[in-house]
Amino acid sequence: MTMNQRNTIDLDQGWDFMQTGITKLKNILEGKPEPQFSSEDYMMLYTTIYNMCTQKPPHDYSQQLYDKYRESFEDYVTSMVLPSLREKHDEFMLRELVKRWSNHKIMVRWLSRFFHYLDRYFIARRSLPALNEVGLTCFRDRVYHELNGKVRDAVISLIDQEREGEQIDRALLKNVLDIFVEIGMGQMDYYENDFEAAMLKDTAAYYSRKASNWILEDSCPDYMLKSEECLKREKDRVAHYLHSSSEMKLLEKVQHELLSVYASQLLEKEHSGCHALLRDDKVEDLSRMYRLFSKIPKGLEPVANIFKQHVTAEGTALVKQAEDAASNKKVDKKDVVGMQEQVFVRKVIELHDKYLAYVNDCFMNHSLFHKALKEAFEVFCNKGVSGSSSAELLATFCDNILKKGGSEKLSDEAIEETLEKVVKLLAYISDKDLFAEFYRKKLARRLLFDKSANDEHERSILTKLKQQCGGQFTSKMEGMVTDLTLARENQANFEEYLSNNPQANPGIDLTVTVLTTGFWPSYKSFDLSLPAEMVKCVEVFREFYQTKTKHRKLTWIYSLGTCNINGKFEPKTMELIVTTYQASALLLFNASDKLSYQEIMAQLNLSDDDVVRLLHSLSCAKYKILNKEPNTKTISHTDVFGFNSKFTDKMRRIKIPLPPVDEKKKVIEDVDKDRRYAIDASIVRIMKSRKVLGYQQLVMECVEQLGRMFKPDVKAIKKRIEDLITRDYLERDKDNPNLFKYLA
Amino acid sequence: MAMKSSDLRSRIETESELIRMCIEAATESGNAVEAWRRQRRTLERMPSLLAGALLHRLLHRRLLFPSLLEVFKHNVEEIDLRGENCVDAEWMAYLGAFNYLHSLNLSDCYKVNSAALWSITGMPNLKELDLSRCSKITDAGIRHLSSIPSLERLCISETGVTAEGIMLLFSLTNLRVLDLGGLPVTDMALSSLQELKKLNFLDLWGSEISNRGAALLQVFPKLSSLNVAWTKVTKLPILPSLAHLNISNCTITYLFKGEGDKARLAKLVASGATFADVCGALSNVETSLVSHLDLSNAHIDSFYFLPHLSSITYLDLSGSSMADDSVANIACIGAKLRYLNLNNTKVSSAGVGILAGHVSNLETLLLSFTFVDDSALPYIGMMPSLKAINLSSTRIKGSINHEGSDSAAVPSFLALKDLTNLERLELGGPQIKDAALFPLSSFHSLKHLSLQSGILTDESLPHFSAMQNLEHLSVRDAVLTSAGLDSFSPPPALRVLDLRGCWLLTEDAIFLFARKHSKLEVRHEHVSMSLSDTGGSSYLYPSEATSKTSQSKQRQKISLLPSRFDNSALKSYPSKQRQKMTHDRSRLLETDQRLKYTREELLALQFSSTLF
Amino acid sequence: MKKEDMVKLISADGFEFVIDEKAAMVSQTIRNMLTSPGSFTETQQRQVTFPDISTTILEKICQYFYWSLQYASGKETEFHIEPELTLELMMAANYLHT
Repeated sequence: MTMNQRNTIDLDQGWDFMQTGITKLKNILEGKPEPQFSSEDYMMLYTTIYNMCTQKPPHDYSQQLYDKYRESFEDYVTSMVLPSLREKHDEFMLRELVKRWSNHKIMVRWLSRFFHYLDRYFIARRSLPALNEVGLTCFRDRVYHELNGKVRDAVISLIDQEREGEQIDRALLKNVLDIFVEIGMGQMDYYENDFEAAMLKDTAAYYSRKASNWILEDSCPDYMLKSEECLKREKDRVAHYLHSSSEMKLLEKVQHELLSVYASQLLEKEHSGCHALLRDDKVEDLSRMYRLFSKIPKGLEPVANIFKQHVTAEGTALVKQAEDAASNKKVDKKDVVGMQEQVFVRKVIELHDKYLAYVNDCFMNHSLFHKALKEAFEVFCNKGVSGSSSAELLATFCDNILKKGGSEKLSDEAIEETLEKVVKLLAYISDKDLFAEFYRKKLARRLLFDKSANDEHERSILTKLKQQCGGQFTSKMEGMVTDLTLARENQANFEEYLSNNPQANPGIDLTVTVLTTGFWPSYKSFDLSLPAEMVKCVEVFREFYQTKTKHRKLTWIYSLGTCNINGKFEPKTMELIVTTYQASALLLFNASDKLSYQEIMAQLNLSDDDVVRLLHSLSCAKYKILNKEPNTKTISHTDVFGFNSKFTDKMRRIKIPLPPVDEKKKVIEDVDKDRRYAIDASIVRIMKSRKVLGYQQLVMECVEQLGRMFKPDVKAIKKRIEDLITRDYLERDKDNPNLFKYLA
Repeated sequence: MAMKSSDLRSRIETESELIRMCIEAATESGNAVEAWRRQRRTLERMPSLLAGALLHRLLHRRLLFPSLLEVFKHNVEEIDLRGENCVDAEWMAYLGAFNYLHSLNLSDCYKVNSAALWSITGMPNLKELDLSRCSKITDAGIRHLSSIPSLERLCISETGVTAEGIMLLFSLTNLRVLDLGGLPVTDMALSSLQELKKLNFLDLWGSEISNRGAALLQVFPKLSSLNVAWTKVTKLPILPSLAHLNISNCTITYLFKGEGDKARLAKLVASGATFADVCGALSNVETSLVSHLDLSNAHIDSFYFLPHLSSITYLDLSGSSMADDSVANIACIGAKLRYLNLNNTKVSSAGVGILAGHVSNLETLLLSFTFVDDSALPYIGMMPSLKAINLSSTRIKGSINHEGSDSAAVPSFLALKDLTNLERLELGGPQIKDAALFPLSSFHSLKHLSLQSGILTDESLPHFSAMQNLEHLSVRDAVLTSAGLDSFSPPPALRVLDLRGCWLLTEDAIFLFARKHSKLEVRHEHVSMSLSDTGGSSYLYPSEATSKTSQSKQRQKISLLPSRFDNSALKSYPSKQRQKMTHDRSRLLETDQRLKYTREELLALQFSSTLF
Repeated sequence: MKKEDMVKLISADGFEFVIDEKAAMVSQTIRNMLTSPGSFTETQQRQVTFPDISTTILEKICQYFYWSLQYASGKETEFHIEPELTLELMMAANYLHT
C-alpha cells in the first residue's frame, strides 16, 4: 500500500492556500478576467479544509476555519458590496442589490462546498449555525439591515408609479422582493415586517385618496367599474412581483378603502345607486355590484336590503293596482272582477319570474338574496285583494287554468309552467291551509261536474304541491282524484250488473259517483224526499253496492246530483238539464197542476233557503218552466206555482243553472275549525315531550310547528291553551301561572 | 447546547453507510482485529471521530482489552467507559498514554481506585472526567487529580471522597462543572473552593452544607445551576446568574434574601420540599421567567404565587395539597402550560372544569389518584392540544347516567373524540365496563392505551381492533378468557400487548396467541418478561428526564435516594425495579381472585366470558 | 455511453478509473464538485486525482459506488470488505462523504 506521508499543515500555510481560492472566487464574481474553477481546484480546496480539520490537537483548526469562513464573507461585503451599493440610488440601487444578492448566493454555494467538512461534524457537534446559514446571515446583518428601509421606499415608489400608469421593470421588483423572502430563510418575517406592512399602508393611503375623489365625481356604475379595474390590477401585481401571501391582505386593503368605507354612500347615490339600478334593470351593473360587495365583510347585507325594499314596493304597487281596478269595476259584472284578479296573479308571477332571475344571475344564487326575495313576497302576497285572501286568489287562479273553458287558453307546456310558478308563490303564503280548503272546493266542483280539462294537469299540480308542502297537504286531494277514477270503474260494473239483472233495472239511466268521506269537502245531505222513480234507482244501486262491499254506509248527497229530464211542452218536447233538487221539484208537477210554496216545501222536505233558491231558478230566471202567482221577481212563502206548458226555446236541450251557495264563508269557517284542532294537537304534542314548559316557549314552539301550514294567531293559541286546561290536558303550575304542566 | 459525543458517533454511521460497514467488518472477530491492528501509520492518521467510533464498537463487542488500547493512543479524544466493570488499573495505565484525550467517563467503573488514577495524572489535554459512583476513589485519588489543571468538568458524586479531599480541589481553577452529589461536603470544604471563579454548575445534594455554607455560594460569579437537595439549607443568598435550582426535600424559609435584582430562575425543582410561607420564600424570584416548576410532594401552604408564573410550561404539583379551590390559580397561567401533573391531589371534576378553556397548549395532563369522575371528561375534551392523559385510579366509569332517567347510560369517553392529537391514554378504575369503551375505537391518533379494570371481559377486545395507530395496548386485571384472546385481531400497528393480571388466561392460550402474532410482544405472568420493557406506567416526561431513565435502564443501575439533580425521588426508580413491583402486586392479585371461586366455577369461567 | 456521462478518478499511484457519473455521485464530495454552479464546462476534462487514496482502496470505493446504486434500487446483496482494508477504506469514505 503506497500512501503519501502527510505533513501537518499549520494554520497560516493552510489559510494562505484557501485565500487564493477565495480571491479567485471574488474575482469571478466581480467579473474580472479569471479562469473558471477546475475540478482539481475544487478538490484541492476541499482537501485542504479536510486535512486541517482532521489533524490532531492542537492542529485541529475547525474552530478557526469556521471563524475565518465567516470573516471571508464579512470582509467581502464590507470592502466590495456595501460601497458599491451606498453610492447608488433608487432603481439603480435596486439593480445593484439584485446583482449583489445573486452573487452572494453563488459565493455562499461555492465556499460552503469548499468548507463542507465543517458542516458534517464540527458544526453538528457544537450546534452552530450551518455554513449556508452563516453565509446568508452575513448578508442579512451587514447589507440587508442597512438598506432594507431604502429598498422598501424605492420599491413602493415604483409601485405607485405603476398605479399611475407608468411602465416599470416588473422583473426587477420581483427579484428585489425575492430577497425579502429569501433572507428570512424559510420565515416570512422579513418580507412581512420590513416590506409588506409599509406597502399595505401606502396602498391604503393611495386608494383612500382616489376613492375620496371618485365618490364625489362618479356615478355608482362608473365608480364600480373603476374599483373592479383597480382590484384586477392589484391582483395582477401580486401575480407579477409580490409574494402570493400578500394577495389576500392587499385586496382586503383596497376593498376596504374603495368599498367598505363608501359602501352606504355608493349604494344610496340618488340617481345611480342600487335603487336606480334596480329600477332601470341595469343587470350588468347589478352583477358587478354583487361581485364587488360579496368580497367585503357584511357587504351584501345592504344590497339585499335595498333589493328587498324594491321588490316589496313593486309588489305592493301591483296589489294597489288590483285594488283600484276592483273598486272601479265593482259596478260592472261580477266575472270581470274575476278577470282582474286573474290578471293580478299573472302579474305577481311575472314579478317573481323577473326577480328570481335577478337572484339567480346577478346575485349568483346567494342565500341572502333568496331570503330578501322571500321576505318581500311574503309582505305583499299576504295582503289580499278586495276582500279575497291571496290563498283564495291562487286557488281560483288554478281553477281557471284547470277547468274546462276557463278564462286562460294555454298550451299544455304553458299550463305546466304556470302551475309550477303558482306552487312556488304558495311558499310565500302563510295561510296554506286556507289555500288547500279553497283548492279542494274548486277541485271537487271540477271533478264532480266533469269540468276538469285534463287529468294529467290535475295530477301534475298535486305532485308539485306535494313536493312543496308535503304529503299531508295533498293526501285528501289525491284521494279525491282517485275516488273519481274508482267511480268510473264502479259505474261500468253497475251497468254490467244491470244488464245481468234486467228485473232490477229501474228504467232510468243512473250514474253514481261514490266518494270517500273525509277526502271531500263536507256537504249538506238533507233528507230530500225523492220522487218515487228516483227512490227506486237509489234502492237498486244500494243493492248493487252491497254485493260488492260490506259494512260500508252510503250517504246520498242529492245536492250534487244532476238529472236530464224531458219536458213535454206544448210547442215541443225539450231535454232539461237540471239538478236533482230541481228535478224533484219539477216531477211534483206530474201529479198536480198547481202547488203552493208551502206544499212544495213540505213534499220536498227542504229548508227555506234551498226551496227559495231552486224555485227562483225555475220560475224567475232565464227559463221560466214554472209559472208563478203573483208574477214577481222574488219568491215569497205565499206564492203558488204551476207548470208552464207554453214554455219553449230555440234549443232542444237547455241547462237550467242553480246558482251555487256562496261558499267562501263556509270555507273560512271550516279552516278555522281545522286550525283549532291543529293547534290543540300541536300543543299536546309539545307538552307530551316537554312535560313542563313556560308560556312563551310553548307559543314559540307551537308557531314553529304549525308554520308550514299557516301562521297561527297568538291569541288563538292562548285560547286553545285555556281550553286544554279546562279539558284537563294541561294544568298551570301552582306557584308560577306562566308555567304549564302536561297531565297524562 | 452541544451534541453528546455518543450521538456524534452514531451520526458518523448514519451519515455514511460505508463507514458503518467498515466498522462492522473491522470488529467482526478477534481475527479481523488482528488484520488491521498493526497498521500503525494509518491508525496514527485516523481522525479522532472515526477512531472513537471504532473503539466504542470494540468495547461493545467485548473485543477491547488493555493492550489493544495502545493502537488508539494517538487518535482518540473521547472515551466513554460508563459501567464497564472490567476497567481496572491496567486499563488506566494504557489510558494515561492517550496524548489527545480530553474527555474520559469512568462512572460506575467500580474497580477504579485512587491508585489507578495515578496513571492519568499529567494528561495535558484532559478537560472532562466523570468518576461518579466509583466508590473506591478516596481523598488519595483526588490528590492525583489536582495535578491535571486543564480539568473543566469533574464529577465525583457518591465516591469515597471526604471533606478533606474536596478541599484539595481548590487548585483546579478551570473547573466549570463540579458534581459533588452525595459527598459529605462541609461549609468549611466549600469555603476552600472560593478560587473556582469559573464554576457555573455545582451539585451539592445530600451534603452537609448549612446556611453558612450556602451564604458562601455568592463567591461563584458565574453559577447558573445549583443543586442543594436533601441538605439542611433553609435560605439562599442572592445568586444573580442562577437559572436552575434544585431544593428538593429541603425546608425552605426564603430564597435569595438581600438587596439587588430578583433571581432570574428558569427552572426550580422543589420536590418534597417544605415551605413555611411559600409566597414569602419566592418573593425574590422573578416568577415571570420560571418555565419549569416541580413541587411534587412539596408541603406548601398556599398557591397564590402561581398566577405570577406567566411563562411556565412545566408544572408538577402531584402529591401536593392542591384542590379544587386553588385550581383557578393554575387556570390563569394556563396559556403556555404544556405539562401539568396533578396526580395524587384532591382535585375533582369541578377543578378540571375550571381549567377547561384556559389551557389551550396543554399536552400532558396527569390526574391519577384524584377524585375526578366522568363529568370531567367533557372539560378534558375542551383542551385541544392534549397528547397524553392519565386517569387511572380515579372514579371514572366511562358512562354517565342522567339523573332520574333509567334510560341507557351515555358513554362518557365520547367527550374526548375531538382531541385529534391524543396519543396516550391511561384509564383504570374498578368500574369501567366493556360497553363504555366503544368510543375509543374512533380515537385514531391514539398510540398508547392502558386500561385496568377487574370487570372488563372479552367483549372489550373488538373495540381495539379498529385503532389504526395503536402501538401499545394494556388491558390489565381483566377477566379475559383464552377463547376471547384467540378471536382477538390486534390492530395493525400494535407492538406491545400487556395482559398482566388477566388471571383467567392459560399459558397455552398466550403461547398460541404470541405465535400467531409473532411481531407482537405479549406481556403476562406466564411469559418470561423481556428486560427492555419500558414500563407500563411511566408517563411522558420531557426529554431530559426520559433520557435519564433510559440511561439508567441500559446500565441496570439503581440510583438510590436522595434524588439526583433533575429527577425527583420516586421517578428515578429505573423501570426494571418498578416493573418488578407491579409484577409482584399482580401476582398477589392473581391468588386473591382465584380464591374466590371453587374449582368447578373456575372451569366454567374458563369457557365462558359472558358471566360477568 | 457519452463521454460527458463519465468521470475519471485517479489514484495516488496514477491508476485511472472511468466510471458513470451517477455512480461517482454516491460520494457527496464528488457530487458537490460536479454540481457546483458554472464550474466545469463540457470541454473541460472531468477527472479528479486523489493523492491520499491508494489504487486498492480507490478500486474498492468504485465497487462500492456501483453496489450502492444497486442496493438503492432494491438488489440486496452483500458488500464484502476485507478486514485489512477497513481502516483505509473508512478514512477514504469519510473524505469522500459516502
